Amino acid sequence: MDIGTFAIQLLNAVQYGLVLFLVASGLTLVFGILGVINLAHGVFYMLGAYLAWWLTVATGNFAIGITGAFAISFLVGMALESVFIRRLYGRDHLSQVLLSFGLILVVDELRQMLFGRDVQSVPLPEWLSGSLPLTDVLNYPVYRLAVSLLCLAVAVAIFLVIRRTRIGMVVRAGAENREMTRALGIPFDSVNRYVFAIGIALAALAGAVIAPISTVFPGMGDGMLILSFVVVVLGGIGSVPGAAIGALLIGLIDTFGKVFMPELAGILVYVLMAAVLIVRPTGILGKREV
Amino acid sequence: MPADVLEARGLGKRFGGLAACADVSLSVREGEVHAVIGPNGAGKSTLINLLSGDLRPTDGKILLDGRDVTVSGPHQRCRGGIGRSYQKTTIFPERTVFDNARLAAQATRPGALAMRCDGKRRADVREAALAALAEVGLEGRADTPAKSMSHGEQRQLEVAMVLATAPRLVLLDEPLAGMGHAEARRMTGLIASLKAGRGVLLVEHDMDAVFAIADRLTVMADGKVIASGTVDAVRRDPVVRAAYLGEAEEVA
Amino acid sequence: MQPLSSRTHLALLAAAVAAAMLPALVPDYYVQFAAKVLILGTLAMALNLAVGFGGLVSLCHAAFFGLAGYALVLAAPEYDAPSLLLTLPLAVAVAAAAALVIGLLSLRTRGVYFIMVTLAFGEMLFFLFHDTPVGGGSDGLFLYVKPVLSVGETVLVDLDYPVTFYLAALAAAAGTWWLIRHLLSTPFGDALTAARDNERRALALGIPVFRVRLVAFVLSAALAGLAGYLSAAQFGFVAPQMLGWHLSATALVMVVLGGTRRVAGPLAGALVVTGLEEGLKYFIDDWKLVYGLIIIALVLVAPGGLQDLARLAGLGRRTGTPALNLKEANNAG
Repeated sequence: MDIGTFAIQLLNAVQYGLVLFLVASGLTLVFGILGVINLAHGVFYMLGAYLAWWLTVATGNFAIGITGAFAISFLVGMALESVFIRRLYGRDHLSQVLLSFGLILVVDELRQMLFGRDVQSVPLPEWLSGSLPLTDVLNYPVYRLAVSLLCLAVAVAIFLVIRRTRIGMVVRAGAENREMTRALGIPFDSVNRYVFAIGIALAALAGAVIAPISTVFPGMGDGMLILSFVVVVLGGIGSVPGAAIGALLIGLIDTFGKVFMPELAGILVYVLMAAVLIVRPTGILGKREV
Repeated sequence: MPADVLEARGLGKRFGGLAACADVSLSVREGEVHAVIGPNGAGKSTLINLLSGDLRPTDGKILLDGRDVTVSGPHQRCRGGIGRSYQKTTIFPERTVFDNARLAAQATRPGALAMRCDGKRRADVREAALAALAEVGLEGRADTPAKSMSHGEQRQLEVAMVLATAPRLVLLDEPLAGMGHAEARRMTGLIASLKAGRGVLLVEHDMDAVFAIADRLTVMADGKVIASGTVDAVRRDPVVRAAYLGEAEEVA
Repeated sequence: MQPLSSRTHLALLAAAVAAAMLPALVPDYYVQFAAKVLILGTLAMALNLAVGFGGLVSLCHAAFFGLAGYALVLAAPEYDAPSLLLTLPLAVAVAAAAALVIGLLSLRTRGVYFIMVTLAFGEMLFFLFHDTPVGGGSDGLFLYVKPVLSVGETVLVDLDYPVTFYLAALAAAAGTWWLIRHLLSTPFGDALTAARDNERRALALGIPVFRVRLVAFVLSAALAGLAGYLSAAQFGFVAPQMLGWHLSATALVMVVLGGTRRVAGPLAGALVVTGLEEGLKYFIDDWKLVYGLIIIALVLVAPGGLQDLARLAGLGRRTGTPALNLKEANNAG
């Protein structure tokens, strides 16, 4: 592999990892703060992609597609938290698994009623569809670069919120010791609602930005859900930096795995997960057993 | 002199850069109560967790009846003869008193994981469970659900469960914590009676109880042993008086 | 577990006779439906050995179910009847072997980690069959001839006959029920439920918790494999969806609906869920919407499953059972 191809693969790996981070950070935040395991997380990735497609086609404006998908999912998240999710706080994991499974079926069927079951693609606007020359012969698509930058900006925003704000304090405490946070009480009910809605909206945003470079299809959330679980297991539950490390690791392994050993690429992330489980069952940045 | 049931040599435990326990050496003989005292954060709980196998030491050695058990896990230590109670009562609250003791008695006997026989029909297990309940004075409560008993009785039950595993060494982590006067007196008597044929290591804050039943004392501070010996010797130790006993007696 | 009273014995005997007589009493469609319920009930009872009695919320049991199904189809000769005596043990062994590996890794974790790790490993197996040509890819594989049990030239059992197949499924469900029930009465069962109730105490009593859970997990997977084998034989077809986590989650719905603390509960759960699915599909186009809402309502209104529903409806005993008090194996962390 020459240096140019390597650079392109590296950029792809980072872009993939960053998108994965958006999805996984939402999942890990919801678990870290609300103590709820949300299997329906992936279905919102899918919903985000369909919303982006629908809005882009309807308005002819890609920016509206992306922001609309984010905003609508955020509102859906607020509504879901106040109707269903809040009743799961403190309940056992089995109830949470079942309720979110029910939610998957509902959201998936609603998607079918609203948008149908067809595979769709999202057209890119002119200014994003070009390529940047990397070397004499190699180009890199502008849009992929834009996705990386957007995800990076969101990631930086998440880290700033966690480091600098009161909500962030709760987040950090939750990652350290969830029982303690629960015992101390979370400042206000609305924090829960915002955290859940943001988590969902991040997944939807990831689905929306990935829509133009992937295809939009009904089952796209399932694979993402599993991968973000692997990310969370790798990084340690509730740890946002852990999710970042896990996501980038998977981005690298998956992308370069496909280059060097294509027939094994699908299995590699699970091998990585197995290895981490053997060495550190609570994840790379997870809390060690007491 | 009776043989050492347990011997710890140079035991240490680090959490990251923090040494919760460093270079702790002590022994427990058959027929004695060896109490470990010290202020909060002195490393007493860490020590008991190291001895029971709940934590793995980063330094040192643990010998049980002369056998090295340093690297074995809690269930292996139990089978080797170490039984323990926890600071927070650790029983099966949903089950009856007898069932708690039965599970304990069954778990350390041959056929503990048998898949063929009916667990409730084993006479040897039944007898051992009832004997353990009798030893702590709960024989009359066999059919009571554990969760409906008082705090003190639940602690007695935990001791009975430990006894049902036929231990050589009993580790008790603050067995009197949270008890009323009468309950504490009964428990103190019970602990004193446990040492017949066994060794007892006791971590406890109640100094009256410790001085009443301990044969030997080890004093810890900042994860280290600062004094060790007979109760009288330790009481006279000027370092201990300065560091700990004076203030503890005020508190008590 | 209380010993069965003689009255219960009688009721059981009556139920067994009624179940065995079913094919003589109802049309073929219902016999096939009953066989499907028994197979899914076997899967759910098997899953509940891990979930309800081991405190291990597994989301990869469909993978064991599907692996065994694929093992049957892949081992079967193309135009001849596969031997029941050869393929059934093989299929069950494949499921158990997979569970041994997955269990060794995932049982190092607790609680929510365990759920996520089992889900991930289960999906790994799903993708293995979905994306690679081993099992015909996403199209799946057909089993052209159903398994038979024969001695010499005499065919004793031919699963191609619906009634024979139904009786085989009945035997599998009854056998699974009996085995789990028996297991729970043994010292091994005591150790398993003790580890579920209080892992720390179980360890301190000398119970090798990891080993006990691993054995239970493998047994539970083997029984799920038995169900998967029968399912592949019933439909003569296997597809990757058989291993997918949606089936694992559906089996969990059956478990919770039937009651996690009862051995036969999940069988009742399987009957209700399967019946509901068929009914909804028949009457409603967007049936999954209603189905999803019912699952959500179940969790919120009747977490104790059918027993709660009966109580809500004013049936059953006043005392009833407490709401779902499933305690997971995470109290040591």
